[in-house]
Amino acid sequence: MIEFTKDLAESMKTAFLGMGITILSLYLLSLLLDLIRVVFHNPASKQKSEPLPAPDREEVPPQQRTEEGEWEELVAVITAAISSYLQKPTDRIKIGFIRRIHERTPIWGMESRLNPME
Amino acid sequence: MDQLFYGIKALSISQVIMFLIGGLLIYLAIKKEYEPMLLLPIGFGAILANIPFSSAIGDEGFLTLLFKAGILTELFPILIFIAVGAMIDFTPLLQQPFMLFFGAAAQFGIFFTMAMAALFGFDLKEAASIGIIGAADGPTSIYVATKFARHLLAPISVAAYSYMSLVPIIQPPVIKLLTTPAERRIRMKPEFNVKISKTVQILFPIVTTIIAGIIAPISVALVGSLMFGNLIRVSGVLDRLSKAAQNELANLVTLLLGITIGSTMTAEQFLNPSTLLIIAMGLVAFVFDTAGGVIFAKILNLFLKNKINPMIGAAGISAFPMSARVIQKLAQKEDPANFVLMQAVGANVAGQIGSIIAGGLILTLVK
Repeated sequence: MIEFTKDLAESMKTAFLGMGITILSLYLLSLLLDLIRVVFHNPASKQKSEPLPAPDREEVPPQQRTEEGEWEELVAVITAAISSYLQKPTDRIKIGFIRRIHERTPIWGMESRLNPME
Repeated sequence: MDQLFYGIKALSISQVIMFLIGGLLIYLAIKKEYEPMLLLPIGFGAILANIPFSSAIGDEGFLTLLFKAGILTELFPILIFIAVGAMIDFTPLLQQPFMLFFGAAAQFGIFFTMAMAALFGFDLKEAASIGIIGAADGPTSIYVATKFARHLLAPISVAAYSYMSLVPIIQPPVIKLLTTPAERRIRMKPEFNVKISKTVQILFPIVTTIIAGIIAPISVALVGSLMFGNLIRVSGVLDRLSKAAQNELANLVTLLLGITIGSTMTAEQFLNPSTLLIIAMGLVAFVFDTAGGVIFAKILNLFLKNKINPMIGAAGISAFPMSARVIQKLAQKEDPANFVLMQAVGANVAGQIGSIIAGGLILTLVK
């Protein structure tokens, strides 16, 4: 009985200490990571990641680029692509809104968009 | 004539039960695809070990040799960690170091289960080995159990790998119980568009090893091997070694690890009430890991301006990447346009580090 009580008390003590030190050490690590990120921050890399300048609009004849027509075409293309991907007829797909997403979306972000979990 | 039948005559009911358990593990691996790379070799190893007078085990049995060379020396878990390190991309964590908190909070199940196991009469070292199932990390569980409770290695490994594969079943009800639909719909500000320089990626494994090593020197083997694998990956000059670690090394050691663990599942060691208790405790560990992460996120939300989706806390367990996918799935169920996968992956990767540090602390603190 004494041994049992001793083990129980020791396990509680280890639990408190263990949990506390785990949180503290990972907090310390997160602070260090922030520090490393600041120290090794490379402003040049940010410049590189800025979007490229838009292509010269003069390449496309202006008469083909009415804004409304372009949007309709874009919606039609996206609807067709979704229809083909989901193998559903277009009349069963309703496009709520379309917005541009980050061009540098990481692989996990892309995965979640391309592979919606069911 | 007796020579022909001595195997059949020696067959006991308990050995037949072990064949069925081995068969069940193989079934789960093939039909349900629950951690097939481990459960299938473990299941077959269990069958090999329970055949009467099996030449696979015993002083000259190849499985006993593998056990002595790979498990007792702790070599297999360490090699697996090198492979895992080479496979992990820590970038989501480096982009959001804050996620390390969840990697720590979701280790709560380890310590809670340890106290529970002591309450059920296991001695301190056994209780610590059972608690470590909550690390949701097979090699860490094997490493700690080998040091503290070798006789419980089989049920602990089976429980650890089984529950890791059952994360999609275990976590959602716990999360739903602890969160409201409004909380599950919280959208988080994306912080993952930050570019991480190569220097930071290279420094990360080195700094982590030093910090973890100073806090718990006994964890150096675990953290060091994981981070060594990662350093090979991010260095950019050891592509061949990185690929070898991710493929050849991982496959070969997993193959040998599974069948060797299976060989420890002999009827006399496995068929006893403590096995059932250990398997039940493993479930408790996973439930309280999840609860610990979610509750911690909810507590943080009391103080934060930009609220965190509390489900992210549950991704702090080490079951990678399953847990992150479960969280994304739950988030999309509430709000199809809510993408929390990157944050969940960050927390999930943090869980890998958290579980190893927790394992190292258990080895340090339990005497």
